[in-house]
Amino acid sequence: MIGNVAITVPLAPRPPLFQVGRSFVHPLFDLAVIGGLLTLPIALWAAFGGGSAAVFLGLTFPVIALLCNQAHFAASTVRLYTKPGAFEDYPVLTLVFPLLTLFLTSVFVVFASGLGQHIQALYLTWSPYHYAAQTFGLATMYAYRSGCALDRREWWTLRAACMLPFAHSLLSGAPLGSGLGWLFSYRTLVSDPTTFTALTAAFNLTLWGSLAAPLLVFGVIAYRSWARDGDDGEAPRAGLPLLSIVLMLSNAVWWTLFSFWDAQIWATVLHGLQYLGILTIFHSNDAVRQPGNRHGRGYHVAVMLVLCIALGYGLFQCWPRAYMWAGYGQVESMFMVVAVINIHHFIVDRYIWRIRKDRNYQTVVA
Amino acid sequence: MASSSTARLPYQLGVAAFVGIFALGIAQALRQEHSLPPLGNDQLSAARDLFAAGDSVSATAQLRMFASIEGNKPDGWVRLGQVLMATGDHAGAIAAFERAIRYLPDPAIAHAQLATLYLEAGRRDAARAQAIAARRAGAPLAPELEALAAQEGAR
Repeated sequence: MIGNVAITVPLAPRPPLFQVGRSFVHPLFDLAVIGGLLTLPIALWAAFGGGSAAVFLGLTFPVIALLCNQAHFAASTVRLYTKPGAFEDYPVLTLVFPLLTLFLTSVFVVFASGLGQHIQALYLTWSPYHYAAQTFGLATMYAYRSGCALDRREWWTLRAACMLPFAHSLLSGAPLGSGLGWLFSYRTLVSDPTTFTALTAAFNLTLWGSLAAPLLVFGVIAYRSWARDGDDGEAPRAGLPLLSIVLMLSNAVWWTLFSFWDAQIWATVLHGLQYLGILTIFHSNDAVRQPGNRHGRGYHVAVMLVLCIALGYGLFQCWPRAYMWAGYGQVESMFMVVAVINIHHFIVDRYIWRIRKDRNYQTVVA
Repeated sequence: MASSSTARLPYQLGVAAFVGIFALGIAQALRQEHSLPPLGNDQLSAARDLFAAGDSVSATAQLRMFASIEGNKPDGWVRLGQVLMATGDHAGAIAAFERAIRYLPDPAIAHAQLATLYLEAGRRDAARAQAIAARRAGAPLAPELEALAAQEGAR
């Protein structure tokens, strides 16, 4: 009130607690392809239909594997070498790592009878961690883009929730020699009644926890966002976007509704689709920003996908045969090459998707 | 300061190495199968071809490698045991099937095959134990093994 005149200051609208989130392409595309919503009905149908992934995908599997799975493993390499400034930012990764990978793969092929089992177990154990970490990265990215900046405690809570499917996979992979089964014989683990009871409880806890945690995290962050009134210096904030929740739920569904081996197949295919979706967005954004660019976004997306498929074919189908040409068996050549491609992908991804102090930041906030 | 092309020498070597490797892979497929490398990752197709062509030594070596890499799963050991049994290496087959039943779920077929092999080797008690385990798991048994397992049941 100034004198007798009341001045009404319009209040800024409170950020929404419930929101789809700020998409990159279109909310439906981001939810279906990157969020993995597309895969939820497929996963539920396949899981409750009772068929194994191999039976469900049938004869189309090699083609689906090439287009989604193998292309996505190649995509991290294509992204590494097409990312502006990659040679300067990651000299070891871009210059030395390919030759080192080649050398190590050859060592593993030569000594496969002794090392092979552990390389195989390493990549199968690491895979669910990689998917969980990617889910966390994408979930925080969408949260940040959608006006839901997380504090340290929320960041860790979200990370723990995203890691629950990985914890579950450590137990579900044990009968197949992965996860806990890599370190301890499964027969030994289940023969002691106390250990068996503890493992069963942990299995159920991580199973239901994986499915419930995304909703709980959403509730907690919504409450904390709602409780911010701006008086204590904390700016009002939006809730966790639906895109983040769907991402977490899809990864949880893959690792809890399927047996470990089927989860490996489904998650790799579906995660591959998700990965290629986000990759083409980042790549085409970088490409159209390049000085002198004369092509549209569609051109860059198409070229990127063709490169990924071609390199995927070379890596998965041609590379093992080079060892067979040198006289090594098909078994060790295929197993070791596939394991190393996986591990290489996990390591490269650790660097190329950084957001803070990285060129990727431009795309995240664009 | 090194020029950019010198600094990128390891990268260029890497690219050349992988192009060469892919070319070798394609050449191997063309030579062996008269086609480009097919899609799919069937690690045992070569072993099957070798076995069909009568090269059981190479086929067995590949199955042994498969079992060793998939070491904590019974499937590879069962396959190896079956091939060794078919080629007359009964001691090797027993070792492979014994390895298979160390893992869970222990395959019924491995118990049944072990019962047969033990009986042939004159190890009647061991054969009876395996026949019982196989019958419990629902595996079909030869009449003499059924009789052996039934003897135990009657005791």
